[in-house]
Amino acid sequence: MRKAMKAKAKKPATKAKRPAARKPIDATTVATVWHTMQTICKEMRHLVDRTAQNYLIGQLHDRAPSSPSRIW
Amino acid sequence: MKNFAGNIHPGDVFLTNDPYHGGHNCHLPDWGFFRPIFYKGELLFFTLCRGHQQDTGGSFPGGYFPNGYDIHAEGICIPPIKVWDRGRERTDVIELILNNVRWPDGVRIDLNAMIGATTMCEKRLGALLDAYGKDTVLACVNEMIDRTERAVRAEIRKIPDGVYTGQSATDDDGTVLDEQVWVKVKITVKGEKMTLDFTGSDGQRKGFVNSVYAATYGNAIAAAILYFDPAIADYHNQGTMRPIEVVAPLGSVVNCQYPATTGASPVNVGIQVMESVCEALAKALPERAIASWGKHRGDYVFAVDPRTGERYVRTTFDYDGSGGAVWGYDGYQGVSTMTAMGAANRGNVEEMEIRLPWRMTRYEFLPDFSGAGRWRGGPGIHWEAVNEGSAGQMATGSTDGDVVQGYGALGGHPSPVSRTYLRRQGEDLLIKPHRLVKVEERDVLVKHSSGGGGVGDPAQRDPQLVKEDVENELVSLETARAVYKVALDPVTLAIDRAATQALRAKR
Repeated sequence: MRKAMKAKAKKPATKAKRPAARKPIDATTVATVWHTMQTICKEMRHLVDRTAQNYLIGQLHDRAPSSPSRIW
Repeated sequence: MKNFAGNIHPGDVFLTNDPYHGGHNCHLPDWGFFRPIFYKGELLFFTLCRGHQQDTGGSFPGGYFPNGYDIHAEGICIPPIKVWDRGRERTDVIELILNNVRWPDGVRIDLNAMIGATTMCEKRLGALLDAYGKDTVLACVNEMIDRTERAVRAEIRKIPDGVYTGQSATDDDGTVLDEQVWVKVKITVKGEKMTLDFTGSDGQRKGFVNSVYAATYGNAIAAAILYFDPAIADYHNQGTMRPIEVVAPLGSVVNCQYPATTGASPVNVGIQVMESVCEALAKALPERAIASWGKHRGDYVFAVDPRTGERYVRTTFDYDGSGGAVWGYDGYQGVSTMTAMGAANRGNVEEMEIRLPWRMTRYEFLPDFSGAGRWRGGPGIHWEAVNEGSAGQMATGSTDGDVVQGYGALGGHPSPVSRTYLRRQGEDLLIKPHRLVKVEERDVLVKHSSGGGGVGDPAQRDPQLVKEDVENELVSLETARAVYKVALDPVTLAIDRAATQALRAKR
């Protein structure tokens, strides 16, 4: 039994796949996509701030449309 | 979301506010709407819109009251549920929710606003995917996460390997009164990894200051990244979290178990989590030291507005102090609690007076009411308003800092203690944090909310800046001399260079 386990440990049934090489992305495209996503988050914030009736959201901005709005 | 495996479709919207389900939330008033975003039939993203609701039901309005029996007493607990299903509102579900909150018409407007924001996100992301294609957009997302991870690892490598400790306390838990609740952190930096270990913090409390792990995790990471290069501030994402581990023992005040109450946790002990991390990292990176912000000062009043004859809840923190100093800069003015990191701020006086039967009578900076330092804390304030509505109640649930001062860093002075009074028939009644008290007609609510802590020795502050602080009535002549060691002419406020040099040489 112990031998069998050892053998199994040495020779896994399936080989781990190598991760596929990632296609290089040019810096301009990365920056454009990233900042578009940030802009979407900011638009969400503005929409909520201008539409919500409650004081906490509209005046004090106690909201987080899209996750890290307190960061960026 | 595991419960919805195989049952997530375009046009769905999910809602949850339950800190014990969902992982995005700290207390019940914060409702989060999640929308799955599909592109050509494939689920690619989720978006979230979260906001603090006017009311969430529970024993008292507003959600910041102490002494709930358990979390169910704090309001309606909504696990992740569908409120829109394939583009159609589940009206019966929404009605069930609205039937369990006060001011349902207002809450309905806010729900629609937040769901609308997720709809807009779906449209904008669709346009982005149309423009660049799925493969390119996803490749960019992965690239950004990887880049941020590399940048954060590089930032951690700049911190000397070692163990750094910090701690902070809230005045009490609102149930066991006048007994401080402590959060302690041990930060271990090794190479490009950082572990924030909250073992040693107080155990879970009966009172409402308990924080679920997700909230502790978010606050701890948010504090840590303040010590990284500001140049990467706009780029934090999932990659930021990979090299940082947060340890919080189950059953402690920083990783509480159902059914513990959590109502105050965005403030207490959320702020304590941030303060302890910032205090610890100031020892590791003094040139990026951050002092405590002024403690949060939120008081929620519920009564009747005679102009309409209707009930209202005043959910504000208009009277927060200011930010703490950081190395090289004085603290910001006018921002709210440290856990909001400047995203939340004081409201507008006219707006408050229009909405609520309270009339402002005083709102100004107080001199000498922040931590002195080479860089001083943002100034504290004196705020007063008179109740022109009915008698009612006030929960000082998200207020703190009447006993425990916010820390100063590197010789900077701590944030002074704050005070809340109800002035009734000429007498000032001291009201402590985390209490529920009666408010009478014509009571004047008086808030002395301290500013932030200072960074560095005050006697090293540029005398010219001290002079300007005196001119701006942020620092008194006496404090300029006694604390900052700057001699000013009492009439002209000219700097007496020789006397200043002598004062500073004496130390």
